[in-house]
Amino acid sequence: MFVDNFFGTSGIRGVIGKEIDEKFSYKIGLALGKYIKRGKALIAYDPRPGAKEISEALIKGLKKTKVEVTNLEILPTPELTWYQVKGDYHLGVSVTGSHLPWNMIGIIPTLKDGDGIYGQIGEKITQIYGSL
Amino acid sequence: MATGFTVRSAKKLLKFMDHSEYIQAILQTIDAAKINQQRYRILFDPVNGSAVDVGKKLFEKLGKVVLINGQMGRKPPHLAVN
Repeated sequence: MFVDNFFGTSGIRGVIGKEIDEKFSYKIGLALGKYIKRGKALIAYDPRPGAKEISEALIKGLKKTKVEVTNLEILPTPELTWYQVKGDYHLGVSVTGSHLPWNMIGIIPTLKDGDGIYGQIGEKITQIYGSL
Repeated sequence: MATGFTVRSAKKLLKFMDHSEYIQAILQTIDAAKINQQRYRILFDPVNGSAVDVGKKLFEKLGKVVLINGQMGRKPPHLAVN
């Protein structure tokens, strides 16, 4: 299915193993890495089943594009973003289900200064994903 | 807020700091002493999520914490129907 923009108001959300599986997450990692063009990234995830595996796939994709990744493992999204901005990272990604049903997860990236990805930037990253 | 923050290994830093730098940054935005004077009991429900540890440590700075749904990773009760 062709999608213009994977990114909603706060990242990408979907059912674990259906819309968001490890293959998808790996490719999102590749697309994010190609968008930021190297640089350094902080990653964290929540304790929900599947979050760790999806994070690891995302990290694999980012590393493939030569992004320097630090995996903080389980950490709340605001704390991750705080460290990201304070540490001057180009990218932060929180893999979290947040308030969603238990079988769902989100990939929530923030760019430098902690800004979310949506609109034209989301479309651009979705295009990169489509070209992979 | 602390200055001169550099991250060579954020994971090592976090383990070492035990969330304390983040908590300190939050506390500096409020009047913690004034809140403490009220001797609040604080009901904290992190719904078994990633904020269990950091939230408990933060709120313990502000009063007596009553924690519910504090088992990180366990399916929260409000999602048990899914």
